[in-house]
Amino acid sequence: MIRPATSVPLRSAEAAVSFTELESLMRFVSRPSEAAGTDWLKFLGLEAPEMVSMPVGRLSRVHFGNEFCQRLLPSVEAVSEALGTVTSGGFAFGLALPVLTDDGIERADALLALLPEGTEVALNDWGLVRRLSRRFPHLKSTAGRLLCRMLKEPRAPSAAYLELGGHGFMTPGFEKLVARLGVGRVEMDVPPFASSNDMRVSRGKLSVHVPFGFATTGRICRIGNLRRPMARKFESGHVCARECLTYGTVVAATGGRSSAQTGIFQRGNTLFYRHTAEMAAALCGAITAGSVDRLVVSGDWHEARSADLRA
Amino acid sequence: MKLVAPICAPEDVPVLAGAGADEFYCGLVPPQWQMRFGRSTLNRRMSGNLHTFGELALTVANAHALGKSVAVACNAQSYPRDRWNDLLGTLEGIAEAGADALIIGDFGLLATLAERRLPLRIHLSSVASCHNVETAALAVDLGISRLILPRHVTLAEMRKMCAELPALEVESFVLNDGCVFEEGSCHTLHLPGPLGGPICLDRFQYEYRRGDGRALSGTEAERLRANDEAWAKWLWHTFSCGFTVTPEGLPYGPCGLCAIPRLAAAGICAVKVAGRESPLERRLKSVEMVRAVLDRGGGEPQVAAFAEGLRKRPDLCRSGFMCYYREILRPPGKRALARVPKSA
Repeated sequence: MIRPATSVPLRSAEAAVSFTELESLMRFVSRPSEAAGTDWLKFLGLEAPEMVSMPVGRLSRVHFGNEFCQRLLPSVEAVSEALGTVTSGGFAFGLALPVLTDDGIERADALLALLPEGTEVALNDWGLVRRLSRRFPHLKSTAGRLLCRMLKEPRAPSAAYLELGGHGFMTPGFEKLVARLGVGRVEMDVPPFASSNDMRVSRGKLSVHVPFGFATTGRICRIGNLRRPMARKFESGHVCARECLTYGTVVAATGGRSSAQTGIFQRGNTLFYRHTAEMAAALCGAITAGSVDRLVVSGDWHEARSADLRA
Repeated sequence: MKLVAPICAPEDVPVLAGAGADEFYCGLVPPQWQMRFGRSTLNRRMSGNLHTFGELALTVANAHALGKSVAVACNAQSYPRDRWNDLLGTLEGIAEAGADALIIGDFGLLATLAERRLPLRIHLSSVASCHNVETAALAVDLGISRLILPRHVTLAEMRKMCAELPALEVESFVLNDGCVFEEGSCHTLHLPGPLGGPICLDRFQYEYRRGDGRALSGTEAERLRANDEAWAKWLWHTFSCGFTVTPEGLPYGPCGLCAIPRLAAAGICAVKVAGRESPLERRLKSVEMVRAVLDRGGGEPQVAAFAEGLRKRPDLCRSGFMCYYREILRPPGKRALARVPKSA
């Protein structure tokens, strides 16, 4: 089980939970009191051993919004309701935004205008970081995990395949960029075959997403074309019926391996991989070394959506 | 509208220039870099790169003699810290070799180059995933002269970016090399075939599950099966119709030839033939196709009919699955039909 407060190690990471759907967020924040305390991971269906052994401190934050798809941008009403619910529940609120087109940015502006001073916004597009610094300087920019580029090939059979390089969040160029744009925090994934040293940044605070990393994402969504006519399927900028909120997908037969072996699954437009025990151990090391001060736990847009979050 | 073509060797320049290319782009992995860091970490391509600064200087000389320019792709998604000094040294070497532009995919590197002011132009790579005016404006702040759009930008989105930043040159894809995912956000490898190959072509078996825990109905299962079948069909088109060419050697696959009038009307200044890693013959045929459309000029219907006739496979064209800009298959609405400007 998650360590109770009395045995939290000297260095632990605060926890945030992220939700794509308002309904999931509402159920989580208003979950029964007996599910409070340290059982929240179980409530999310994420009670795997590698998760519960994390040096997690206080669950202090709830984030709302999807990082991967503009089609999932929440409405003004949804953000307003989420903000009220989260803050009333005693948590800090954060908003996550994906890469956006100009149309999406207009809609995002209306969401950002709702947020009180000091609210953290995870941005996955450098242009949005620029916009936040200019138009919403009272909000705090976080560089989201899509901006932390590195090899995360979940099918790689050994670390040798990924030795081509680490992420770009340790370079002088990154330091110049975040200084220019006022970024105070960055987010990343745990790459396959990671060591604790892979989870460091040269500037700002570091959040790490658990227990899933994303391998690839894009604008063209397989499940999002389920109801599209043949001639309109898989075209850039397509609309959808948010089928990703109904269907998840596990993926098998990668090079002859089962989904249980690869840990690969797809949600909407994004392929994810589940952390292995080794990745989780590397992350634990980074937390105890003081490099990572926050974990962002995937609440609902993944393979293991909890029965407690279902309608 | 300029035609930008990929080159792998100095001798490609006169061949592709003769076919109608206006500008060239290439990769370079010098031996010092390859020895320390391998082939694939300086730009996005494992092969098809020049090998020495001397080769680059010769390429540039060949191009300049014909009044053409050369841009060098240093467009890895990002660069780890241990490579930074070597990277900057390599970029200085590229400038000394006389290249006209660098193609950069990492905003951190762009921020560094903004301060170093190398004597060449900076183009923002499609790998930088610029999908909006704000990102383009940031890149302009950091000194770019040209924006190369990612693949999955719509014509309307291009129009907006070009209109908002009229001083910025904007280049878009016109032929070859589709991507299923966003190139700048794909953190996977093109693994060897036995390990699955590129992740988008891996023979994954999908198993769908409802988020509410209920079993799939028969209707749902059938609809999902049909969608998977359509996906496989789209993938086949996206990857050059099974990596094939016409009997004349013209490549199938992602194509924006019919859209050239609308690209021009949107403000696109250059169109790019992708495929640095492909054989010269394929690149040559690709350049000839684009040049034929540019030189023909005319309005949308004429261009569409001409472009469709090049490969003599109207069935493939009309599926829409080869189109970079599938909007072109729909009427443009009340807007006046665009025309191809007679090539400059």
